[in-house]
Amino acid sequence: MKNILIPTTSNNSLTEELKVFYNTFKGLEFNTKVNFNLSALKWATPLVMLPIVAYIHSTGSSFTLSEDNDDVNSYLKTVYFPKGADSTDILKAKNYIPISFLENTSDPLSRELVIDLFSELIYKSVGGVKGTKTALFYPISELATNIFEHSKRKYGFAFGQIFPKKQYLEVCIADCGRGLAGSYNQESGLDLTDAKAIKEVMEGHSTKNDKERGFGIRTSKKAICEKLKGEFMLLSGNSVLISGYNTEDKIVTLPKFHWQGVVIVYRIPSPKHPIDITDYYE
Amino acid sequence: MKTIKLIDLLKVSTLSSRRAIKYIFDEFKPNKKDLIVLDFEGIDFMSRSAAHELLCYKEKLSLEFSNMSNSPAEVLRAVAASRAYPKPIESFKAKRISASTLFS
Repeated sequence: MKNILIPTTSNNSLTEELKVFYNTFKGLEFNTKVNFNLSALKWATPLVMLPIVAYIHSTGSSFTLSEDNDDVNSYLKTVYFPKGADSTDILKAKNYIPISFLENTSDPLSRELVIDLFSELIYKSVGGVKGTKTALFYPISELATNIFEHSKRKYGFAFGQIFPKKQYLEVCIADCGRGLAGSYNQESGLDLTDAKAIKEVMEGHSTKNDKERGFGIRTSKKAICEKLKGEFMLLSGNSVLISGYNTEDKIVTLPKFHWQGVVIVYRIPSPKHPIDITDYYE
Repeated sequence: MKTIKLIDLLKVSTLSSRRAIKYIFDEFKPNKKDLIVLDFEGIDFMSRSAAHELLCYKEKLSLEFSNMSNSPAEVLRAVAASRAYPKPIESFKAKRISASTLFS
């Protein structure tokens, strides 16, 4: 079995996390069982860890921890790596936001409960400032429910982390579903590259062929980057959109890389004042 | 007339998805003649998707809302306005860069 050593990030940037994610899965034929060697990890950030969690669940891959790294091992255990936390576990969470397992069960309300609890935990973790709930809940609800609306997988994952010194919040949502291009192909008969599929999503074209749908990712990205002054990445297949406050949108095609599904990550400064994102609803 | 208190039915204070809205009407199966009042007391967030789904049901049924706080109300109004007169879709432009440039 292939052993993949996960390097630690050399700085705190989201681009650096993306680089580690890319190098972790580069050259890997998706669905191959591997062993993720986490022994070199100094800190476990959402964009690095959540795809590993999703991949382990999807493929039955294994992982190895360092025998000496108590801090990281203890943190991973606290955040329910790699199993993910259900609603009961999330309710117990105190100091950390757990990796949350979003499952599409026959009970239509159970996944609503997990998204609700995860969102509440995020809100409280950044201080629970009055007037910020909608701004925090909106992208989570739109992006998390896309897993069930579009991925055709029965589960996905969400993870969040507060960086207290730098005062920002990072949220990551991941699935191993059919991905954006797969969704457009199967629903609308379109044969798109991954980069073109991202463009379609950003132009609000729903895979459901309904002109009144398809706004969730686009409006969430706009609210995050413009109103919340954050950063946003949308990755599917071999392409990733990178956006940020006052920066030009970029699309990168990652060579020898394929993520079967969708990974979204965003970072926002922890809100300190009420935020009105009404202008971003469409 | 039937009043449905959403927080009692759904057990959460948020309406995150279309599925949550579908669940409400699957549970009660109202016909077009029944006046249904959805009581939003305690609901402090509604997603855009849920608001859109709710408006679709409102077109088919006799539906009213009560005790709706500002946050879900604003989403509902914005989505209703967008349905009535959609904003033109902006063409999305992004710069293409290579991975080596990005990670350098």
